[in-house]
Amino acid sequence: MRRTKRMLQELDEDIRGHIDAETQDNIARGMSPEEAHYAAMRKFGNVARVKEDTREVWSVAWIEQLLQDVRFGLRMLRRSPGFTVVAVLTLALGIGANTYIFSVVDALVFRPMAFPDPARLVALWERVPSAGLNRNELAPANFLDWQQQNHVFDHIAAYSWWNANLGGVERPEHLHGIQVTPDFFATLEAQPFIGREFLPEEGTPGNDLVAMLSYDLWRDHFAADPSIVGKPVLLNGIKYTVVGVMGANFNYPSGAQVWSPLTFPPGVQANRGGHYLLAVAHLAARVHREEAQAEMSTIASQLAQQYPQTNTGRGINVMPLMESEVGEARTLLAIMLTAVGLVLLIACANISNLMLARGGHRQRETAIRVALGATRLRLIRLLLVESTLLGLLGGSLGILFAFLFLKCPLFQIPSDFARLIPGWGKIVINAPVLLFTLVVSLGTGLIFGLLPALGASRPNVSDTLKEGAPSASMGRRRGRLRNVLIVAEVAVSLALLATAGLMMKSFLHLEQVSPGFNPDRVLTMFIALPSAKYNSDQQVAAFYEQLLDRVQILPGVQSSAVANILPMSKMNTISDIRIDGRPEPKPGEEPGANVRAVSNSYFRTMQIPIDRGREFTSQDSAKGQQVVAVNEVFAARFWPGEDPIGKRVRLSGPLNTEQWRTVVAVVGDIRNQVDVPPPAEIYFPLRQQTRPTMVLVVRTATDPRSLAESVRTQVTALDRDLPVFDVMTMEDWRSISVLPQKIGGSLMAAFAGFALLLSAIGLFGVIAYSVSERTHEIGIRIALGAGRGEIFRLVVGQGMLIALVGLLLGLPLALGMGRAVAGLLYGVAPNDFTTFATVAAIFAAVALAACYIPARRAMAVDPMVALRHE
Amino acid sequence: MSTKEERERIELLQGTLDLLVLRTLLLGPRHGHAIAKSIEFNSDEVLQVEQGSLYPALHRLIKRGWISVEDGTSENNRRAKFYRLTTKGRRRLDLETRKWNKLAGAIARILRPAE
Repeated sequence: MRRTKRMLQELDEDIRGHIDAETQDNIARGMSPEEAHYAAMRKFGNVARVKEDTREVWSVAWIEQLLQDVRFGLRMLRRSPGFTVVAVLTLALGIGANTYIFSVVDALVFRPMAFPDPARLVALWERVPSAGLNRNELAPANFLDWQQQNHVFDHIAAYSWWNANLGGVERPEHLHGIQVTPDFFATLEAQPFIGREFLPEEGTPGNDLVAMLSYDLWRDHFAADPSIVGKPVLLNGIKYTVVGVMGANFNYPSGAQVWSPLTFPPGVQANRGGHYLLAVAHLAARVHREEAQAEMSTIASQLAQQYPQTNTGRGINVMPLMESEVGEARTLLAIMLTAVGLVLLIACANISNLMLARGGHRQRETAIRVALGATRLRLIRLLLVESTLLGLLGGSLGILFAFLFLKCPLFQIPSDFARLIPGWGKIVINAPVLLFTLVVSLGTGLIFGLLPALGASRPNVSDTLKEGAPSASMGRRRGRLRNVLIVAEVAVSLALLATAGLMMKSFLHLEQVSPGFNPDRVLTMFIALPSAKYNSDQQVAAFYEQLLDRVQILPGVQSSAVANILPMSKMNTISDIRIDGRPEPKPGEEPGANVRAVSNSYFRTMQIPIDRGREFTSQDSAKGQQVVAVNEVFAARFWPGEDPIGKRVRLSGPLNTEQWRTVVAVVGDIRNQVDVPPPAEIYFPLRQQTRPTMVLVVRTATDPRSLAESVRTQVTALDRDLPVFDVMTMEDWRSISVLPQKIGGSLMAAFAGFALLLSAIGLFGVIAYSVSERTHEIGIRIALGAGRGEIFRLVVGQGMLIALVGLLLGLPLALGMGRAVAGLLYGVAPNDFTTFATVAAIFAAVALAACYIPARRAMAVDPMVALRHE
Repeated sequence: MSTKEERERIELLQGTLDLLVLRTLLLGPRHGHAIAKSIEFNSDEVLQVEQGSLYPALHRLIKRGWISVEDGTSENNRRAKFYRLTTKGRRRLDLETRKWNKLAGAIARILRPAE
């Protein structure tokens, strides 16, 4: 590059030297100096052109030509502002939607968590095929055996969620804590930002009072104190020593704020019945996940032989960590990405169509270019440059649209919940996303430009340049191409519309599903009592009863209760059970049920009907008769055709020491997830099955959120160090539980609506263009006596034929898309007839509307004018 | 189709000048004016090209690596650019000369009056 520049600078000097030398020669031949100079100049030729030509030798010619094409393209776009605005807006919406979806995919699928080597990380789960469980938590004793017996992982770590109430601050705060085995960070190859990781000995009881802070917690609560390491922090009323702070990027498990060592006290080491641990592992060098899976399966079957009581039928699931974390979102996102890509293709088809129509008007320009010696390649390039410019303009505006989509309130979710979605906080328009947009914009320009460019670059020069109408054969060929494009548009739009219809219908079904309780006006908040302060069941139960007494009398409160599990929260505890009078089940075939511990007022507060029997009362105390309530599913499964009241049931603890309990009530079924039918559930009175962490549910007379603060004050009044967390409403929880369907359905509907609009515009364009081309023919028809009605039918018939062919071709496509989303549908068959029929009818109506205006115009053709026009 | 022929014709003309320049430089490095004079003289002034068109040709040859350029002093003691044939250029000249002779021979045979 520099050499070129120098060469060109020296060219001037070289030329001057040349002319001087020639002048000298001329003088030697006897000319006067002046004469000699002019003769030399004459002989040399045009100095400016020589310089220009020499410069061209060094210039990269295609870049200069490209710039020329770009300038020309911009001029052409400016000259037809209508076309340009429509095309750019269409593309901007299409590309903007693609950018938006890609930014979500990028954040949630490609980089939800920043690990140095995510491909070597796996999540470990227990699996119980007989119960349909693929991802069940681990029992501690099983984890310890896996840790000792495997040869396929160089690190394997267990962790468990942990409620950490931060004390010693103005207002107590609940932290989302994680207890981890000491090599947790090593497993994930994550180093602390400051300080050190946990030491192996800190994983033993008594040495575990150390804490690792998340970056955000350190910054927000400890003012980013650089000398935090070694300082104490009060968690659950106990002093922990800070050993380090993790980096800003480290967020595993998603939402974690503080980590502390997980210990295995002697009692826990033998526990194979309680499943509550999560696990991650790092594959050893040169070990594939499949090999790891094979070895872990062998270990699982050995454990099953060794401990048939607890481990029969329990396998191990070795999943890629990323799949385990974002697997569910992936299906939905893949579908969205496909849909939004299809919408962009429809937009491309539409613009191709517009350009083909314009190509008709530009035939003369193209013909002149060919006549003047433009090559076909050069012509194609010129047109492609024009379409690429459109693509880039659309892309730039599209980025703006993508920002707007990101801000759209429909896609905002409560922060307490968003925190748990890996990567949700990272959805931004960043460099990779912009690169994606650039590639899509360029690609889009090429795609929609290619067909018109190929068509326009082969004009019939002599015919076109002759005065008169464009050659008939050209028009027909282009017309056929445009019809094919419209048919394809209609087909794809139909498929999108049908998919959107299925998803919306499914969402509406979910919205109408009765959860079995009344979710209106219920305030919910969680409380975790620290065991250091509340170390007996009695104390815990007493606290909650006092709290309920206080909350109950607050103005605006209709009823209040506590429970260990909140419906719709996706949390659960399941336990094996035994039915009195039934033979001991075979290992691996134990019956199970969801276990709920609730205060007496729970059924009343949640408005769960008591179908038979009685409410829990204060008589159901720790010392009183042990009682339970079961739901209808439970009753029907274990006592079909019998009255469950008075029957006995017990939990099956590892030592079979659990007491028999008498059923005193059968209550209505409720849904824990909107799209899952109610399972068997068994309820215990709070005093007889006490849990330190409970959710408070308060039914209110007015907006439940307005009572949040006064309820919290009651908690603080009982214990000023006690924070509440996840303060939401039951309606929040319900809408979160259908959020994927809601977002998916709404997005799909938006895409499909856009697709429908585009194909309607496309159809309108084709028919309108065809009418204007056939003005002459229509004029003759009218002159020969065709009625206006006939003309109307002629035009509408042409449009509807295109639409019909598109609909027929779209049907199999729609069925295919339906099957692809089948897993996301609830209560709707993927080939639901009503949806398909409705969608087809909507399409037919829109197509009819698109043909109406051109048809009216055709009817209004004045035969005299039309004939004279030729 | 016509455009392709046109381009070949232009390239032939360009190629001819290039060939002449290379042939001239076979005798040793020269500056621009000397090359122009030499071509005129050696072709008995049959080839009357505008001297200026020499320069794009020279730069084209430099770009292809067939000739190199160096600073020097002309016979009348002025600083000037001297152009020198490279090894690559020499090989090219051989090839082109052979091709040219073949073509000229063929045309000559065709145009020879029948005996």
